[in-house]
Amino acid sequence: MPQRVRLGMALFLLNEAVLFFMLIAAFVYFRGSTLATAASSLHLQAASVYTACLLASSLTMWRAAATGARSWLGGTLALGGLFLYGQGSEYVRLFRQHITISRTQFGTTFFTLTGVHALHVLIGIVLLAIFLILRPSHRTALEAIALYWYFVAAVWIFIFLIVYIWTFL
Amino acid sequence: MRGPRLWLSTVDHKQIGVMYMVTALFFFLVGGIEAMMMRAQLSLPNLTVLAPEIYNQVFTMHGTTMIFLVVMPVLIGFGVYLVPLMIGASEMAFPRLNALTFWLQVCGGFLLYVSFLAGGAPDAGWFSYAPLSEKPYSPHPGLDYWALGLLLLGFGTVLAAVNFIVTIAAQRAPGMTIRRLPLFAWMTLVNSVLILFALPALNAALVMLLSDRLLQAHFFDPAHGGSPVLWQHYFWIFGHPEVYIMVLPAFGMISEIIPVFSRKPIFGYGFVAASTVAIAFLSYGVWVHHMFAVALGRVFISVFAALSMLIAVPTGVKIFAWAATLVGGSIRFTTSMLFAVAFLLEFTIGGLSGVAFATVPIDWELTDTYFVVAHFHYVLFGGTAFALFAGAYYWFPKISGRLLNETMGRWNFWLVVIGFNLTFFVQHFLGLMGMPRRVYTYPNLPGWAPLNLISTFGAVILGFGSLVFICNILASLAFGARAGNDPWDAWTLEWAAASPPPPENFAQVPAVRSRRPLWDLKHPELPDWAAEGGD
Repeated sequence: MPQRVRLGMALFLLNEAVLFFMLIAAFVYFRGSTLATAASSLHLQAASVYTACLLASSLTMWRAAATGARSWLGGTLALGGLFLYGQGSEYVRLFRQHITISRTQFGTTFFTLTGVHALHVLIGIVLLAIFLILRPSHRTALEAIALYWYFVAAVWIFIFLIVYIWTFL
Repeated sequence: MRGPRLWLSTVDHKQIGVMYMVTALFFFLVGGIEAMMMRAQLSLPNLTVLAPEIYNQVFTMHGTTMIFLVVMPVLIGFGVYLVPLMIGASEMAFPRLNALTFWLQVCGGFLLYVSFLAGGAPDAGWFSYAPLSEKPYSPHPGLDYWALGLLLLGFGTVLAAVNFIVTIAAQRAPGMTIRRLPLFAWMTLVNSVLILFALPALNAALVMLLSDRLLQAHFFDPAHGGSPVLWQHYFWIFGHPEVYIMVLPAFGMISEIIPVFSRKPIFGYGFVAASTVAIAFLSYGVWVHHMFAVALGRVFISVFAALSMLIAVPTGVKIFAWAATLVGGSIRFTTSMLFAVAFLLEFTIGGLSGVAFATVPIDWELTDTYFVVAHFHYVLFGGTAFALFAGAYYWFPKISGRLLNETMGRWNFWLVVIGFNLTFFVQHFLGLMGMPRRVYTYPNLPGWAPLNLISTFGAVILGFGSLVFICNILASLAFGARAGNDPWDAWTLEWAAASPPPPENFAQVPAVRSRRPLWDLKHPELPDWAAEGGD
């Protein structure tokens, strides 16, 4: 990949990192008043499973970027989709407990943080889908998307540690 | 490349730069009209030219427009136009991203202004403090448009910053090392780093505000466990670096213009560049000085007061470097140079009142009075806008191929200087007398009426001065004297290109062996690189 594309993408992701830092900081800022709800309503095992899907998708993405094979790309898409499905189920579970973005302070910080992250995953999936349909031979584009994908997975590791692991410590 | 369709679809950095500047000039007129409306309402006590709720919308839109639709786009526009030329490149690193960035700005501006048709413009001030900006207190959709518009503008600005950094990192001509970079390019580079770290803080806050307003979340609403102080922290973590984002490229322009019209290289190039980096670092540690009136604890605010005073040091280093460049120079007082020298004086006044504000008790006394309005207009108008006028007179010949008229330039300069100082100097006194800002009228207290009338009178003169500028542009485009490639006998690479430059910029980029490649070209007997010990 040309050096300037890598640099450009890295700088853009630096800006995204600051965005997530601020959203995570807001979550932590309200942690005192949201911890009890978080501990009683979040489902650590289910979250661990879909977290594993997202991490595994980084591996398939890495193989896809290295080989350009459509099968690795398809696998990445599927694992990304599974992650969103898992997160969606988590949302439904919370809604059933009457936890929404407007009802509780925990809902406010949790849904905003994880929602903005899910939007990033969705954008990654759309980018990959566009790539699969339109330009399967454009390696620079694929490598740029891969950088983005690793970043989104890395951010999730921080979110998972702070929102889930820290809550159940 | 001519015709409207080619302008709409262009990815040429010069055309995009011009479109940025023209858009910003349009919004400068809009924001200026809003300013005149406010001054009309405030010209005498107890007037009702504007209803209170309209006045709130007008001052909110004036601030938002001038910051996000005038100053930032015009500085990016100058950067997009000049940086590739200054570093000897033919294009920005990502030309299509460049076009996307511009159109995002247009869309953001459109979203902000369409709010007038959608039930009322935003009315919570340019920093939209919670809980006033929350749904129960501002139920009409104006603030939704404000947040969405700023989100687009913020995203576009980030992409512009990415483009600048990669362009300066990867597109420099051979020999254009980082230590030979023209100072305007240096400042644009540092500025872009500031943008990368500051704008996402605003974007995060806007996402949270939109969650509150559109999805009934409770980030900033104290009635449901939210925290209005959190909004203030987030906004000013963006907002104070933003102040430098709006002034660093202007410093860059001054650093180009003063040496050329003093016929001397800049004094202390390294200090000017390094002090910019120092300002950038410090700017992240001073945001709480906007919040001294919030009870945050003595030690906490004392730290921020000290850091805020510290930032005067690198800024002072720059002022001294520019002043030392003037000393002993053979100064040519073109209109551009007049504005540059006036910048030094006006910006220093704004800087001094800024240091005063860093003192906590003074801040407590003067917070939210007209002293604040006077202070930041000295920085933003006396600083940035004066530098922009200087830059416009300096680079217009390169952009258009014609010189701006110097006679109209003098009128422009004197009307703006007199009008500006009449408008804002008296506001220091109004603030000291306790007149609060952002209130649609005031009682007839001793001294308030005459000072406000002077301020309004000054604003009218300032308005005329700005119109002279626009007339000068239009007249000079049609009838201006031909500029030639290098009307100022300048030294940086953009003056080696034709005026206006062809699409590819340079037929051949001159060799770069020092900070003043064109000096070396014109004075082969006394080149800079010999003195600098370069290659």
